[in-house]
Amino acid sequence: MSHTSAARTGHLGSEERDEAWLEETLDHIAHLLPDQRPLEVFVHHNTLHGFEDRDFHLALRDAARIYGATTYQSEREFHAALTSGRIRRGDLEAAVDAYLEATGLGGKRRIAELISWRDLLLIELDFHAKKIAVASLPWAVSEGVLPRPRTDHMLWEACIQLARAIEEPPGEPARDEPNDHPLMQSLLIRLCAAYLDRGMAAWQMPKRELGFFGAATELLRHRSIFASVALKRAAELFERVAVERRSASQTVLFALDSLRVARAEASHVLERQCLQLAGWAGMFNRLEKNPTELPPELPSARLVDYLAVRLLLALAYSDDDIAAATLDAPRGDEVPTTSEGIMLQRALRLLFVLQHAGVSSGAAATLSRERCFELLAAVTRIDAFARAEIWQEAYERRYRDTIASALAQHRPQPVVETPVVQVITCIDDREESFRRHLEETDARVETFGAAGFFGVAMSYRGLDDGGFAPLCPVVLAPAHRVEERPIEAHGFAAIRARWRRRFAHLEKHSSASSRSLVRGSFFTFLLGIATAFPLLARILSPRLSHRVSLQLRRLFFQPPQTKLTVARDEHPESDQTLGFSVAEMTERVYVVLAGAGLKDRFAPLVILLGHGSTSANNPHRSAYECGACGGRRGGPNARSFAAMANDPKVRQELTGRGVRIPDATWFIGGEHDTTNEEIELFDLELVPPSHRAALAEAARLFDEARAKNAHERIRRFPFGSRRRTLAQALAHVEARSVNLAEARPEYNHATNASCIIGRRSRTRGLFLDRRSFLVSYDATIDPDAEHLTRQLGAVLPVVVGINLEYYFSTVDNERFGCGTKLPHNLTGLFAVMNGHGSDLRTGLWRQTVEIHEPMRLLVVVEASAAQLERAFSQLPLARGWLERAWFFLLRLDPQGGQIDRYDGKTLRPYDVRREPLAVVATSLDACCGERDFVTPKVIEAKR
Amino acid sequence: MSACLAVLLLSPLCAIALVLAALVVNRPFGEVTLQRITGAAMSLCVLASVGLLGLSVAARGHPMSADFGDLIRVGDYAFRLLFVVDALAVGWIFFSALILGVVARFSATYMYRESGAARFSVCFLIFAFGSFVLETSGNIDLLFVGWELVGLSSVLLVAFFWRRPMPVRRAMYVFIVYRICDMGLLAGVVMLHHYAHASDWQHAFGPGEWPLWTAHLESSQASLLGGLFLIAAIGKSAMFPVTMWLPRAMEGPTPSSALFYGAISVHTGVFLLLRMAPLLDESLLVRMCVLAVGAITAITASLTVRTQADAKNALAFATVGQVGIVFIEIALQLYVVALVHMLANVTLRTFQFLRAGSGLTDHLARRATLGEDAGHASVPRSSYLYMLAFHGFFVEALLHRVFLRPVARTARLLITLEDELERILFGERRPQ
Repeated sequence: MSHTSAARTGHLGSEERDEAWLEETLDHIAHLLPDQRPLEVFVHHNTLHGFEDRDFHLALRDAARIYGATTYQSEREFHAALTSGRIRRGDLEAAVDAYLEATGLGGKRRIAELISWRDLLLIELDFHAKKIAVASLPWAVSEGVLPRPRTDHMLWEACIQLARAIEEPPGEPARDEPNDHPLMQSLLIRLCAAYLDRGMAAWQMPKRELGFFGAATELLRHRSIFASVALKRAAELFERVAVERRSASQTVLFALDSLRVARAEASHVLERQCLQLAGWAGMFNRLEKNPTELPPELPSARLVDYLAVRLLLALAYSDDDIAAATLDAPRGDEVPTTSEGIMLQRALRLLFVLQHAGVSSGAAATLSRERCFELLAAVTRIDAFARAEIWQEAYERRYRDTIASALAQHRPQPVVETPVVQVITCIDDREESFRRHLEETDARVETFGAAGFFGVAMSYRGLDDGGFAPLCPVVLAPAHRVEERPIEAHGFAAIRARWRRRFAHLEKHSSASSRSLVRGSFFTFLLGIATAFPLLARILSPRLSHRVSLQLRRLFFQPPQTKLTVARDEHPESDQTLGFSVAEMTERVYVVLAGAGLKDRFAPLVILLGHGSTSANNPHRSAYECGACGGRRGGPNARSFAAMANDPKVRQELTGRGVRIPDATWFIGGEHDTTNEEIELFDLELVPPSHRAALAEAARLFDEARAKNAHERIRRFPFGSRRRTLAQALAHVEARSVNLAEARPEYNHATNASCIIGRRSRTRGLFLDRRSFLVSYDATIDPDAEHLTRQLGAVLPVVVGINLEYYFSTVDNERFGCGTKLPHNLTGLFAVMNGHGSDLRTGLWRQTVEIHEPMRLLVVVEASAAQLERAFSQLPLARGWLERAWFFLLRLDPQGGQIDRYDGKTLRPYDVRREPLAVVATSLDACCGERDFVTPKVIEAKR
Repeated sequence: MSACLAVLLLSPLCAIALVLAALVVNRPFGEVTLQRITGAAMSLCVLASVGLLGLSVAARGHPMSADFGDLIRVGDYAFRLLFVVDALAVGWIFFSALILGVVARFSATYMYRESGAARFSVCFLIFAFGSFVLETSGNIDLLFVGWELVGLSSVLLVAFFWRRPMPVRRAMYVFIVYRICDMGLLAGVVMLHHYAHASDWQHAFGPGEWPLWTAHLESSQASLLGGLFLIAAIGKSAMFPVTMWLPRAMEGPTPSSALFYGAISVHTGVFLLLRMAPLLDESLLVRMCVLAVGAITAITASLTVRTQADAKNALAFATVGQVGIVFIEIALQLYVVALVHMLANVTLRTFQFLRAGSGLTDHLARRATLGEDAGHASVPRSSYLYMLAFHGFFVEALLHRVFLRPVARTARLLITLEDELERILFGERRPQ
């Protein structure tokens, strides 16, 4: 912030200079705010996106200070992991050594000629994991509880003497941050919600066309004799601002002056003001930077508007006579630290060190001040962050070793000679198990992983959709439109569409009128008691009631046969954005197939499965769907891709580019529901008769695999493990997807930990416990690393974003995540608050991270060193993350089991500590009866 | 009858005792056991309520009473455990048992792995017990007991997430409103004893059956009593001028919001008024007051709801708007209409609360079919009216001015006086 305050310190610059300063300051603050989109499209991203320019551990240190958050698991949790064997002693020692090497503290040098840094670190790690409350130390000492039994008392006394003699340098005085007035906060929240509302309230906020500052001014300048004193003062202020025609930024400057904020402090004050309700400020900032996400009726959303309203209200409420109630909630189990406690803690740490060094009490008493200082300085240097860093490294090292060892030992599986069906799924970690089960069910099945939009970036409108929605990663802007149209536009389809509209109107009116006065009375009176039936049915038997309503819908609203407008030449009437030209289709099919290493050797059936997720009563529903399709269902993309790949003209063009699809091959698009395991295949009526038998076989395969997949999944769920048979497992996951009370329809990306980019033969038959994103890539046919560059460029931002959002939401669920789902209150159709009114809750909810292990992503790439370096030389963004250690990268040699570590600059052989790799018959054997994580195992294919 | 009643009342009570006992001996139940206990208790309650409904139909709605003797007897006063199930009570018992059962099932899944599940269960069961006592009470003393239990458990569940400051602060707000308005009930209890020399409905209101009782009280006495009970009902049902506690109470987990504010708790005030129908019949003044309170609430709440941009606050105001209309119906002496309307409102709002998270999905589905017609937000005709509705018609500021501030000033004055007195009598206060 020094650069921003520099402009401000100069004595009252001109107005323009002040406004430039403000703009600069807001730019800086914007990096600190949460960047979550409106809920309709939930896209995982790095929670600490503003800190990506720093090394990971440094970023975590800074973020902890700025947000007052926790950025690592607690030392107690790490210690528990050590006790349970999740971290081995060796991992911890290796992490300590790596830390010493990185900080240059290694070597034989002994601190104060007593102890080596390595030993000191190990003692410190141990000491803090024990969690001796500082506040209870004086008591423990006075009661003689502590240093017993193995200490000689003289040494302990000597340590206390030493500790007392040393005065610690005074730390930074904690700033006293004033909190918002509760009434002001509640008013501000309601203002923001009313302004940003996308159709929740029956009345729009008036004058929204003036922007937030303008609309709020119009609303608040109204005077009323009944209003509270503070509101009257607010009315005066807003009136004055309106009369003087001040802009939002002028108002911010005016309010800062009126609040008597010192010039040097101004940046800091603004930062604090924004961070008080960071979620709301972040939403304004997000919409300002991405105006396409604004609803059509909203002209703008600007951070400076928000800040202007906020500061004026703060001014109005600053000397309110309603003293902020003194009712402060208990602050968790924080204990005030006393200086006596801190002194004793220091003594205790000295004691451990001296004990370790074998210093007698007599020698301790004569220890020189300098040596004591040196010792304590060393101890102070290893602060909580340094310790957490070491623990975290050890924690990740263990998982990295397990995966590296499994990949190094796993014998590459022979290529399936004559595959009966090839299935291409999304790279999603949730598809790992599904693919494994498919292959286990029939050894002649081959599976591939590709980003779930299958290269088809499009703006799509389904038969029953109101408008077009982009189906592609959010970084892309789709240039093509695809529409689902009934094959026969008249007759049944038209009648159906009409009736659907009628029903939707009815539903709309009933939901609106249940809240109104007169209509509401009749509505309540007539229909109120009748709602007892859906109430009872949906809560007592969610699955059955869902099936009944599904049957009814099928009976009345059976969708007609439809077709996608994929090929442009079939629709001469339309403009150039509808559909794709042959060349465009060829390019898309080529990228996906060749990228996955599929150039010849096609099975008679190639099935592409996009994915989506069904859940009930879930505002965060979009988060569970396909990230590569912008938080929407990926079925239409798979369907479009199949239509392209089946096009004879496309196939002809492809032959020229080295992808030879035989005539005997047919592509089918489909969709896999990751919650209830349903699989829907599209355009089956187009399948040639010669492929009907193969299709029936594939359908049977899917049925078996999805039941097994459900069975593997339910071991993680509460109540799930009691169910045994495959059919019961399937029924269980189905019930989850429709139950109104279900806070965990599925676990989404929880437990994600690695991303493996390479041929399936390297991972086929390996039980990876649904923790790996699997990307198909064949290094042997990609000499220029062209495909690798494209794959890494597309995949890394997505998977690293997912992984880091899970990391931060897990380590501090209240600050970085959105806490428990239970009190969530859907606001304005774009976010959730807690209960009556609170900051917008961003990030992930506790129910989805509760089984997650917070770790940085381990990316394994099967490629040659030259290919890897070449690819990364063209990907500055990903390379930056790698250099600053926001994820790890291991290189797996395509020719053998050699594994290297790549840190963005150099490639060094990775010392794989081999662990025995168990062999089991099936996946279900690998995890049966186990509720927790399962290490990689080899599934021995059926012969 | 007695058996059904005993099951209805004792099963939640036993469950509470069991859970608390386990906590006391420091061997708390696991979650699954806890849910089984709650589930079993609530299933028994539903069965008992069905039994009561059957018996009541068989008795053609005539009141059935069960007397379990005196709990305490002091001089002339006796606290009798007298329960009455009549046409008013039986429908309410049936619906509340059903809804409690459904919500118990809902929370079994919803609350899983939440810290404080035992606390939730206990509060839930206390609430169930309290509301059954209130509904089956045969005299005002028992009604008061049920009333207080319902209030206590509501407040505790508002503060369920006590580690955050806001739930605690808002629970305190609810608690204060409850306590102030409960004074009305307490005074009413005392005055009813004083005037009617009896506390049970039969003796206080004379022979007959609900709603055709006639109170043997003078009009002025009925007015005073009715007014006191109205104060109590206003508090519990979040009527004007204390409507604002209801949205504030949305801090608990969703099922408790559904149960308390959508359903049973907020309609308890209506039940009280219906129970006191004979008093209302006697006093035009009270009826006018009920009418006024109901009408003001219905109008302000239905306007305020239009400005609410979030699911739960909107539902709170929607609920309370309908309760206002039920108040009007009561004032017009349409007791049966009011009863049916209340039950309908209870069911509808419970369902709406439980699926409060579906708003976005519903909206997207609607937009998918209707396109641009989907949004039903309109620009209000008068921005002044919007402003009034947005600020809740300044009722809180008004309350603050005419009630809270004078009280606070008086209290401050008394403190100063006491300090001064202490100084005069004992010299300077020692620093603590």
